[in-house]
Amino acid sequence: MRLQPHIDAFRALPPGVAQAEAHLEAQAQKRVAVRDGQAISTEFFDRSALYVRATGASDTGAATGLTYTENLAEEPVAVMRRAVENARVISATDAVTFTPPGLTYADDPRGPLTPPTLAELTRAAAGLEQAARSFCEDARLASCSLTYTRYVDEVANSLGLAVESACGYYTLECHILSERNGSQGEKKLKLLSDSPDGFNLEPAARDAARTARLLAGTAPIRAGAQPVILAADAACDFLFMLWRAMSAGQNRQSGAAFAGREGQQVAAAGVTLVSSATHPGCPIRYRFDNEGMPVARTRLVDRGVFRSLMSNRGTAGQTGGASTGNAGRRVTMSGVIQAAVQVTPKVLTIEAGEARRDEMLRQMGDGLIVEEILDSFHGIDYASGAFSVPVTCAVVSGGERQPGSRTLVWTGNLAAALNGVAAVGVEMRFSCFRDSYTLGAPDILIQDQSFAGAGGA
Amino acid sequence: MLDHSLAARVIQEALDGGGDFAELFSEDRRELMIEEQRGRIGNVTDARLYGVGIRVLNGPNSSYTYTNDLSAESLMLAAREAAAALGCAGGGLICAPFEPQTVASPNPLRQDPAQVAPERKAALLIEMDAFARSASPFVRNVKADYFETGQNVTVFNSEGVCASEKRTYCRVRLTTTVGDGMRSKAEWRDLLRNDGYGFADRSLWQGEIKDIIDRMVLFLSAEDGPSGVMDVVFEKGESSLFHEAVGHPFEGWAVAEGMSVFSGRLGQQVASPKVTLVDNGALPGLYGSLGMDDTGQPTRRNVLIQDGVLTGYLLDRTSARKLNMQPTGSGRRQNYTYPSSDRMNNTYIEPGDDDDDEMIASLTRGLFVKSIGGGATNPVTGSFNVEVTEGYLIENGRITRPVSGMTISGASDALLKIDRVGRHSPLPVHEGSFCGGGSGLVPVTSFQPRVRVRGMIVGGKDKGEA
Repeated sequence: MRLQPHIDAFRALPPGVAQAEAHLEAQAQKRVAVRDGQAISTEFFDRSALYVRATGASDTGAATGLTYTENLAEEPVAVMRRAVENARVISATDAVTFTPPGLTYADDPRGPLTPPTLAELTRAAAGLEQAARSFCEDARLASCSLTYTRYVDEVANSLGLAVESACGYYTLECHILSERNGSQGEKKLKLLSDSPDGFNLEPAARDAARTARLLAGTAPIRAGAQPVILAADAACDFLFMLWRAMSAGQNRQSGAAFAGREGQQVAAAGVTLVSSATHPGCPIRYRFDNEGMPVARTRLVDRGVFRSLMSNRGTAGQTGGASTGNAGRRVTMSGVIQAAVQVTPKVLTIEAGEARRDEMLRQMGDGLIVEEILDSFHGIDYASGAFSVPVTCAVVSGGERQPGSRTLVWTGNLAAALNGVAAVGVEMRFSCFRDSYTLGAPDILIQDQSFAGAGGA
Repeated sequence: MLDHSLAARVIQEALDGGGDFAELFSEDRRELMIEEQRGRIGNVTDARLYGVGIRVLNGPNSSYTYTNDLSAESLMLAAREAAAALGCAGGGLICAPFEPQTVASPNPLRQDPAQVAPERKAALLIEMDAFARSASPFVRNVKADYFETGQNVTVFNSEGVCASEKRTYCRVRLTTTVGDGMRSKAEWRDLLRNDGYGFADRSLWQGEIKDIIDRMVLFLSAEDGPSGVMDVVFEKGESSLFHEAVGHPFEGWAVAEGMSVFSGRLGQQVASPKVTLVDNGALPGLYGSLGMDDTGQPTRRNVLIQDGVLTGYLLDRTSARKLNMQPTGSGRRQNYTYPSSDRMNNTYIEPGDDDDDEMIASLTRGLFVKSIGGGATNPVTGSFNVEVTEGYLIENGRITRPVSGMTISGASDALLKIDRVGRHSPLPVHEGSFCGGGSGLVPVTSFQPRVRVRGMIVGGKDKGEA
């Protein structure tokens, strides 16, 4: 392990350091954007970062400070001392308890860990571009890029814990456009796979092109209360809005809408929300969280009944419960280094149901289909669950999707939306956030939701 | 920072490998974060980033890599690989001699936060927490987090640029929850200081916090906002409206790829003749201001729309090449792990000739928006949205009741629907936000005089039909 110098230093902690923990996060990535088979832009890096927490004395007792560095050659003792120095001004009395050794971890299926050369990646991207273009027919493939990502995580601490995990995967991104009457329709396609040959490209590209064509042009649209199908990508966006309301970290900060509702029916019976280390069909796997805790398979919502907030060791310690293995660092997009341990998902999914898209459309009859939630960061009150977000949507009449699209504003409440789920689709789509956690969802039909916007063409 | 002779060798390696232009972005960045909640300091983190990003261009094609292994061997290898990725033979170009330059920041430092003891910063947060709690009996929870960034940047390029700038940012993020037992509301706001550790002025931050709390309490009992199409008056001052409504479609990466509603529309009427839209990264004292952009180009005033006519775009070097235009000093990035991209700095509508009061008085029904939270834009379609954090109904020519829980959306034609532009536009000295994009999060401001826009889509919790 690259953390071996720190593991060695942990055997004899310097004076003033009661406990210490090191988390190494190494990420390699190569990305090629192609046009007509040629690379037009290339990005690649191989970078490591080190987070060290150390517990020492503060004015109010023991406290844990944190330091972040990208200089892995720095002496471990110096890094620990810097973390402990930061602990000095901490006045909260809940020093962190680090993860003990001896826990049970899942196997470590690693995926492709040897990065492709840029030439190999370019060839693969060019092939995928050609295939995607053939599936788009008269829609335009505006951009195509292929990214290889490998991450290696190591966590070790002075209690004797030392765990490591690695994962490699590919991401294909295509931007598909179509125009009608001077108005653009677009669909962004983002697929994950453990190999360049493993993308289920044809159905996804054909569906994306069809969607782009259907979204082109403005449409006469009904605002007001009506049912809605969240297409799988939009359902992932909705999950991004939702998870913070189920986070013990969010609850500690300013309140979370689902806190205190354990055992209550908060969603329709068809809704099951699972936090876990992986999911079939998703190539990304996390054996442990950023504190070295095994990622527990936790049913946050089980057939509509709320069971548990996601937690890390700190938030679990405050409530007397157990960590769900959801210690993470990158909660949001942020202009600063997100080094503090917070609560994030690892792989969070709305479990697939049995309804196909055409069945949902027939069941809905008249309503809307939302292809994208344009802003799932703002307009959400995690304490109350109220939200107001813009969406790109199209009209469904008599179970048939109509051409054209509009931007409307969807207002509602997270719990009310979950309660209104009438059907859950079969096919899952996955979305990775900042290479930090992954969300997965199928199509979802929700009854009686409120949309605001202008009517007419 | 990076040795000049090594930088020159690295750039030459990139040129020899096939680039017709090469650039190094060298960054040494220190950050400090202190988290407070309920009167206690819970977390203190310091961080140091130190790395180099290498960009190589050949014609319109680009390659980017970065590393924090700053040995000569590592940097030379990175440059070689970046150039090789372009698949072009070396053209025999020679790196021009560097002309070292220290660029002055438009935000002069009054007190270096690195010289302020952490205990003093921690005490500030605790004092802010206590003041916020005392501001109203409806305050249920307060969290105050301190962020400090000291960034030293040097840009080297094959044209001989060797420009350095030191940038300092300080802010406190206040997250507040208010409640009356039946309803609750949580919000966060950043208290920004552009001159270093500028929190010694207690009356200033106390006034800011009181305004935040008073507004949140007022809107706790606000009725649900209406839905439908309404005329909207946006108050003068800091507002992300035009940043979201039209700013992003001016970014060169989208224009060059034909993925902006403004692609190919130079010289066309895209807004009301009352509108002149500017982006200016050189304005002193503002959160989005820099002495140079992140490619070493001086920041400047860029007129994007003049009297309603589209006159320019925001262009990084790569986009400028694709469009056969000149860069505009608009290349920005969050840190060295991102290639620079065309981004906004301080975006604003210039003052006009219309009377602020008349805009309200002449409306039978409308919405008065005093402050806006975040938003998002789709540059392809031009559709955008902004979150209304302080809105009031306009009824029979008067501002009446507060309304809450609303989002305003529209398209780029919102500019054509502006029928009033006020005469006064205060500079947002202690305001601003972060803008997200392909090159990460960057500090920006967006401001305007009081402006009226006809026929915007307003989404509130009222379930009425459009």
